[in-house]
Amino acid sequence: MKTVTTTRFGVLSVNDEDVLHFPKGIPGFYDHREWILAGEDANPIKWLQSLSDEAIALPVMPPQAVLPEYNAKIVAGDLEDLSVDDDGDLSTMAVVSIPPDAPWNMTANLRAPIVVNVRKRLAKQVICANDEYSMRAFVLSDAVRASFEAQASCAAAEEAGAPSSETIPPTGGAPKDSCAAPAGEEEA
Amino acid sequence: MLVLTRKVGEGLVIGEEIEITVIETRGDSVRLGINAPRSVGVWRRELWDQIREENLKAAAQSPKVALEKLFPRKDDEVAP
Repeated sequence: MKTVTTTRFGVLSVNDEDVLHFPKGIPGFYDHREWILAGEDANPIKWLQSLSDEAIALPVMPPQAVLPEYNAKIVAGDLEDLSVDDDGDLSTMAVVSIPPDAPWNMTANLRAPIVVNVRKRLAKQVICANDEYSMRAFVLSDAVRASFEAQASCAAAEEAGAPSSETIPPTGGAPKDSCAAPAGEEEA
Repeated sequence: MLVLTRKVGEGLVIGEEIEITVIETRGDSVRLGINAPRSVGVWRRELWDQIREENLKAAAQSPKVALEKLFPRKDDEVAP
């Protein structure tokens, strides 16, 4: 066991068997061969934390959470690189891109999943043969995204109106009600 | 980088199993035919460039909100 300092998660205790080995690195981070998966149970998004650079962490999530019928066709050469002798050992993760100013518009890269041989802790980002899969598939439904978008523009409008809020408008509660669309509910 | 000149109809062989043939040239475009075993992935170069960019972008972004708030919570379903 060793301890690793990370920018996002502070100091982590890492067992050797927790380490995911990417013999060829990850595109953009070819020199980073060892990563660990960090995050909280409550959050469907986990982070692949590089052990080569404490500041580098890639958000990932199960592609099935975006597309329940997700089934990546992986070329045999990639499976050989992962020393796969039983498909049951395979697990996939999709890299998630989260726009900081509009996180609800996060997208998942379904075309280039990170494939892990769970038993051997070997991993590789591959291009799957499913050309119907997008590199930027929206994670949240249109309705949920629209709801967050509306909330955000309301919040922005309230902030912009803040200086005049010292005088109580006669229709006090009205604008707030119009902004109170609950986030989780999908409207038809 | 190895640089070779080929005419239409000519090709080259990489290893024992990969064969590339120049099929047609038109303006600044070249059509290539590729014979490779199914175990080898053959992708347009831009695809890898795009993956690299997506990864770099994903690692650079640092959302200000707690992400779990964006997902419906499981206990919401049991709540009255």
